[in-house]
This record gives sequence, structure tokens and C-alpha cells, in this order.
Amino acid sequence: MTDQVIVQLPNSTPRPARELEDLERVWATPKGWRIVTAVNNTVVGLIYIGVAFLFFLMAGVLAILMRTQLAVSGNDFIGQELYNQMFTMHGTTMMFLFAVPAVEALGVMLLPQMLAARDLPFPRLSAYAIWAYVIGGLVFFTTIFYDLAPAGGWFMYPPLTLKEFSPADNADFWLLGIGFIEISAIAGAVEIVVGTLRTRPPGMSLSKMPIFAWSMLIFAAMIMFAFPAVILATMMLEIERSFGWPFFTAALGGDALLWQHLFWFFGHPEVYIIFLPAAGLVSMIVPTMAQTPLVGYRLIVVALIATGFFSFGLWVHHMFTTGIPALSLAFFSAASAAVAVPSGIQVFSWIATMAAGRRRFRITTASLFVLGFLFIFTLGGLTGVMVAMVPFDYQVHDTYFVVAHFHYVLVGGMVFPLFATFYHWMPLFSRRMLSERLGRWVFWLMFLGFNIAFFPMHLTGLLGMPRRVWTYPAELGWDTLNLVSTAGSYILGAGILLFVIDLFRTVRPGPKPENPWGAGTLEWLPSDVYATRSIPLVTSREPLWDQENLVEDVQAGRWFLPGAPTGGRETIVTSPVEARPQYIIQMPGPGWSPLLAAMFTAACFLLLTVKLVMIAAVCGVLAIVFCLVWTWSLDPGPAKGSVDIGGGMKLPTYVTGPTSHSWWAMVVLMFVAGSLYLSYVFSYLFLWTVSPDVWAPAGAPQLPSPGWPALSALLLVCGSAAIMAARRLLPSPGNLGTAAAAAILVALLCMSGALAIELLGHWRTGLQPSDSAYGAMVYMASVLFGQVAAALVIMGLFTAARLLVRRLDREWRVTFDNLALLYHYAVFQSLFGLALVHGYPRLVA
Amino acid sequence: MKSGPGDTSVLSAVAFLLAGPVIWAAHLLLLYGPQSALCAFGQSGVAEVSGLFVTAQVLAVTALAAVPLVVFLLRPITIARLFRFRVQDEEHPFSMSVMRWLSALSLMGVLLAGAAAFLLDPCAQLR
Repeated sequence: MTDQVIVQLPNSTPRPARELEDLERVWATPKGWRIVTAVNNTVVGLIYIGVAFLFFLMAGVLAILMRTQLAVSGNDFIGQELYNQMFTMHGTTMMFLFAVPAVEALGVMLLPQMLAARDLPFPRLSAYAIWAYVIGGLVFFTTIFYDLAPAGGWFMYPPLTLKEFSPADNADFWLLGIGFIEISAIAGAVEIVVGTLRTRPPGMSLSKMPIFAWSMLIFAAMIMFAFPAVILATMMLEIERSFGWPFFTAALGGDALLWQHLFWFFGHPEVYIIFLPAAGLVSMIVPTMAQTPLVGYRLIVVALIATGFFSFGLWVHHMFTTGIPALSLAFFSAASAAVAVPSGIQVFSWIATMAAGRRRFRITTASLFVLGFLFIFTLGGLTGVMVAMVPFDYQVHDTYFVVAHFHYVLVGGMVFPLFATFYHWMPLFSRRMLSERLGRWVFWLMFLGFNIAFFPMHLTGLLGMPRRVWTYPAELGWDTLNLVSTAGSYILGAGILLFVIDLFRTVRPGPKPENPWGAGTLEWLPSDVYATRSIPLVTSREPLWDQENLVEDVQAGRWFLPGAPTGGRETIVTSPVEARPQYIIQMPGPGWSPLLAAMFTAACFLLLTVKLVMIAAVCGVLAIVFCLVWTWSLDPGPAKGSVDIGGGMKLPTYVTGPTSHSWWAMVVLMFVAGSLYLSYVFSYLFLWTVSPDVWAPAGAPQLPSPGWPALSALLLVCGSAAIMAARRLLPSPGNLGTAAAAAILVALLCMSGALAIELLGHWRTGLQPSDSAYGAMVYMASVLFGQVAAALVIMGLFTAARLLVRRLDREWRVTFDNLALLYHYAVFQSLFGLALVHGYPRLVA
Repeated sequence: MKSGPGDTSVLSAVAFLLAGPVIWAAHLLLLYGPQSALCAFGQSGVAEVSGLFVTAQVLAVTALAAVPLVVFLLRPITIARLFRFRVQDEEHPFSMSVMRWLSALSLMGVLLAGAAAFLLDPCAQLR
């Protein structure tokens, strides 16, 4: 790739007629029932947001039923057990099945449009993640109808959720169902990180990126680091429930507080994972309605990054009453106060933008929802600062004050911006806009209903009403406030119902009205199934305001990539910081495999819940088979050479190594795996701190002699060497790669052997995983090792197969590069694990 | 518009922009980890732990974290060179400003957390 300078418009007009026909043919959406095979972001994104909104409605119905139960004292409208299941399902559904998927869906739908990309870089991964979520989520939700829903609260604290106190399968549905949906969220995060950093239009450097793209980038990065903690926690709790490994049982050296640490290390950032994209959307709507650039763009970026970072230092503020030393609490109290500063920066920036507008801030339904968000979220933020103060938190912990606080934060911080988004961006997806007249009714009903429902809860909380009670006696004086709250919830529900009616009444897919709000960002460029006709060079943050004739030039195909030069789906990949064009990514089209892989993955997890292990295993194998079918065609190879994207700029259609988007995705996955492993290391050290008496060598069988870990480590190093040898043995193009395939098989044998030796070494000492928390943690290291080893075996056999059919060589090698990257990572992680499990007890003995 | 790979490395960009928050995170880890472990050992009788030692540890870690953060605030260009972070002229003010603001917020977080050592008994529980 050589540096080339493009002078102004790269293409002349008129463009050949065939160009547009090619684009329409290549990007055509499947018709009829084959729509389920579609992978375009506009189609799967709509399904994603539609299902997320359905979950919002269903969880909302549960909320209204619960409020009905609480309307009067001593009510028996709903029984206690069902009430427990309802509040668990309400919280779980809102957090895991609505809030995170809804913002991820907005990312999938809006990001490519804002970045003028034809699609996100891994459309089939998006489709897989979305179908897995749809199928798994719907089955999970139906458990409420069969008395199978979990009842331990959305945070599922042990010991209540251990087998001893929750013997039925209800808790397993939560653990396996939610664990699985988290994996789907991580798949979406990989897509968003790589998409935001690599598929921006030429010229859109980091400092010109729309704020929503910034917020989605931080959102996805937070998912990468937060979700693994709860995935590990759910794995450990499910293993304890199924096999009796005592991670959380105090009598055997475990500690229920470990669950709280892991859960809230995910759970607190989760609040910001939900809030930041919503704040990003507000940062896009406010400048449009004020017709002026966002005041303090840089500070907003700072605020987003700082909030994302600080949110990881707050988890203990959910655990102020657990007996942790006061000084430790003060560290987290300080972080909780510190995070209010970046949030405040954003609020002041939005107010300043409204004030600085070229004309008076335009009041539309979307603007009303933004103003409602500002009011409600600020109140929630203020009570957040109150509960961040340890003495106050001691008074209101687990009362309705906290319920009021987090609903002000979450409904104010996410639901109101989401409704603003529906009204603001609906023209991108529907030829008719939502009614502004009805919209004002919707807003006022929701705004008043919300405040009538939730403001009194501050008072019921201060009067001492605890959370999660299914009824209360009359003499406590909570009746009137509860009745008011229930009335408010009905008004809120009426507002949402009116919105749904308007949605069905007016929304029709079709060509959009042109930029009805006069916005300045690229999603308002004319577009079709292929996104924009050509991809522009961006020179400002609001290109539609600042770049003359941009709409006409893009539509006429005068900018980059006005056709489909490779004959397939493609978009431009640019460099991550300054957005210089680097290559053309070739993307797959519609297919059944993502849907089938998702169906069988969901079936595998859900069948495990009801202990149908054999059928679950078959489904698991089928899921892997369909994943392999889909990935077989993903590495298209360098056959298409370079193509002209306009102005004589030739870009390669295939790259390998650190420039490749696929390499980036693997690095993101490695961060996820690393984060999971660090959570394990934390858990190991935490349990040792709590119960050093059950640790080897004094409290457990002697450790295996050093020869065992040494042999295991030697095999790992040999495996890495075999992978390096395989790299050198890659054949030249068109030749058979038998030697490289053999080297890969040797590497896989080394990896499997290292795992077997590690397990055997501990087994021979007589240590059992169910003996104590120490035994459980030792074998858990091997579980994590085994997980990565299993993934490597599948990838390794896949890579070897490609070598044997001449679909992998020195140049056509993305698949091999990914295998090598993960293999070396696995070796590093496993060596670290050996040092921890074998070295640490000896060190502290 | 130029094409080609002549862009600053994303690793340099991340390291430079997030230098402040990374120090803040390391500070929190080094405050909370040793302090809670030392207090746990003291309570379980595994080892005798002096309260003064815990307080001194908190203050030392805070001072250690504050120094680089002040340097980040005052000499961002030096830090950019250290991380080999180079961008086009038009991107320069944005990157410098974001890095300095993040360092300032991190410094505030570090000082707020560290200040607690002056006010509270190092291992006392509230119940």
C-alpha cells in the first residue's frame, strides 16, 4: 500500500448504470420467510430492537402486576412465591434482555449509518448473537408461566441460590440462560469495537467521530471487561449447584461474598454500560435540535471515557453493609463521588448546547424526552451521591429508597433517551414518522406517571419499607404512598401503551423522509439496502452542515466505492486513529448457518438446565458444526487482488496480521478471555484470604511434586514451538500443507497433554474438587484451561482441514494467524495458572 | 487524503490517552488489595498487623500514584513521545486535551481515595 493523495471528488459522473444495479443485487434483502437468513444490519438490527422492546413490555407488565399487589396492605392478589419469581424476572429481563440488548441493537442499526459503512465487519456474528438472544431470551422468559422462573432476585445471591435453599431448577434457568445471553452480548461487543475502530469513512479521525460512536466504543469495551466477571460467577455457582464444588459454602472455606464481588464487578459497570450509549444518543439529538455543534465535544469524550473507567471502581458500593472495613468502603465511596463529576460534565454540556443554539431549542417529542431525561436522571444522580455516602447507605440499604434511586437512574438514564431515539431516528427506518401530537401525550403520561410512581418510593424507603416484600401490614403507614405509586405505574403504562398503538398505526418500512430534523451527521445521507451510494471523505464532525453538496455528491456516486468492485458485499476498512483507507473488507451475505448455530446453541444451554445432558451435547455439537460451516467461507483469500475505490486509489481486498479486522476481533476476544481469567485469579486470592486454613499444604493434600507442573509447562512451550514451526511450514499458494497441518496437530496434542497432566497430578494427591474451596479453585483453573484448549482443538482441526484442501497458504492465512494468536495466548494464560496453583501455596506456606 | 498504514499505532493511542485512568485503577488496586488482605490477616490472627503500617501503605501508594499524574498534566508532550504517540497537527490539540483532562480527573480520584487514610481507622468495621 503506498500513500496516495486524493484531490477533492475522486469520481466523475455520470457513473456506469451497472454500478447501482450491482450494489442493489449484492445487498438485496432476502424476501418472504427467507428474511430470517438476512444479515444486513438494518434487518437484524430491527429484529434485535423489536425483540428487546417486546421484553421491555413484558417486564413492564410484570411491574404493573407487582404494583397492583402492593397497592394496598395485606393484599393477596399474587402469592408470595409467584411475587418472588416476578420481581426476579422483572429485574433480570429489564437488565439482561432489554437494556443491554436494546443499546446493542441501536449500535448495530445506527453505527454503520453514522459511519457511512455498508455494514458492520462481521454481519454473520451479529446475526448469530441476535438469534441466540431472541431464542434463548424468549424461552427463558416463558419460565414464569410454568412456575420455573428463578426467584432469588436479579442478583441471585448465594447462599439463597445454592442447591440447599433453592433445590428446584429455577435458579439453573437463570444461571445457564443468562450466562448464555451474556455470551451473545460479548459477540455484539466484538462487532461494535472492531466496527467503530475500523469501518469509519476516510477522514473521520477519532476527533471527528460522532459522540454516539464514542459511547458505543466505550460501551463495548466495558462489556469486554465487565461481563467475564459475571460469566465466571455464573459458571462457579452452576458448578457448585450441579457438582458440589464449594466456592460459596462457608463451611468448606467458600464465601458467599465472593459472588457479590464478582457480580457487582459486572453489575455496577452495567449501569454505565446502559447509560453511556443513551447519553451518546442525547449528545446527538441536542445539537440537532439546537442546530449548533455540541458544546464541549472534547469534554464529553473525556466524560465518557472517565465514566467508563471509574465505573469499574465502584462495585463495593453495593456491599457497604457486608462488614468490609470502613477504610476500604471509603476508597469506593470516593470513587462513587468521583464518577459524578464526568456525569455532571455531560449534563452541563447539553444545557450549554441548548443555550448556544443558532435558534431557539426546537421542542419536538424527542426533545421532550431529552428534557425529561435530564430532569429524572439528574435527580437519580443526586440520590446516587447520597447512597454513595456510607452512613446514609447504612440507613437506606435494601429499602424502597434504593428502588426509587435506581429507577430514576435507569429509566431516566436509558428509557427516556430510548424513546427520544425512537422519535428522532424513526425516519431512517419508516416512510411515515411517529405522530408528534400523540408523542406529546406519550411523553407527558410517561413523565408524570414515572414521577408519581417512583418519587413516593423515596419516602416509603425512608419510612423503612424493605425491597422485595410481597405485602405489608396496614399499621406501618405505607398504604397511601404505595397506592400513589401504583396509580403512577398505571399512568406510565398508559403512556407506553399509547406509544405502541402509534407504532402499529404509523410505522411502515420504506424510503425515509429526507433529514427531517436538519441533522449534521452521516446517518441522514440518502441510503438504500447497500447503505449510502458512495462513502465520503469526512472533514468535520457535522459533515452535512459543513461539507457543501455532500448529499448530492454521495448520492451521485462521486465519492469512494460507488459500486461493488469485488462482485460481493464489501466496505472500506480505515486505520483506527486517523481513518486512512487501508483495504476493502469482503463480507458474507445471507445464510442459514448463523440462525441454525444460534438455535442449537440456545437448545444446548436450555436443555442442560433441565438436565437432558445427552440431547444438550448433541445440540452443542450441531451448533459447532454450523459455526464451522459459516466460518468456512469467511476467509476469501487474496484472489481478487486490489480494486479501485475511486480517484485511482487502489486498495487490497485481503490483508493478514495486525492490519486485518479478523486479527482485531481475535485480540478483543483475548481481552475477554484474559478478563475472565483475572476474575478467576481474584477469586483464588480472595478465598485464600478468607480461608487460608483449607489451603495446601496445611489444610489440604500435599501439592503434586514440581515435576508435574514442569512437565505440563514443557508441553505448553513445545506446543507454542510447534505453532511457530507450522507458520514456517505454511505452503506456497496452491500447494498442499501437510507438514503445517501435522505441526498443528502436534501443538494440539501438546495442549491436551498439558491439561491431562495437570489434572492427573492433582487427582493423584487425593485432592477432590468437592473437598473444600481450595480443591474447587484448583480444579476450576483446569476448567478454564480446558475451555480454551477445547476452542483451540476445534480451531486447530479446522485450520488443518483448510491446509489439506489448499485453502490456506503463506498468503491466504488469516485462519492460521488467528489460531496462532489464540494458541500463544492460551500458553501464556496456562503458564500463569500453573505458577499460581503450584507456586502460590508453596510461597505463602 | 492519504491511504496506507502510516497511522499512529492504536496501542500507543490507547496507552497515551488512558495513562491517567490506568494509574487511577492501579492505585485503587494497590490500596484495596493490600489493605483488605492485611486487615483480614489481622482479624483472623494469621499475622499481627499494625494499623500505622496500613495507613502508611495507603499514603505511600497515593503519593506514588499522584506523582506521575501531575507529570501527565504538566508534560503531556513528553508522555506522548514516551508512548510514541504521533498524530496529524489537526488531531494534536484533541489528543492532548483529552489526555490531560483524564489525568486531572484521575488525580482527583486518587487524592479523594487516599485522603480517607487521614480520617479513618485502617481496619475498623462499622458493625
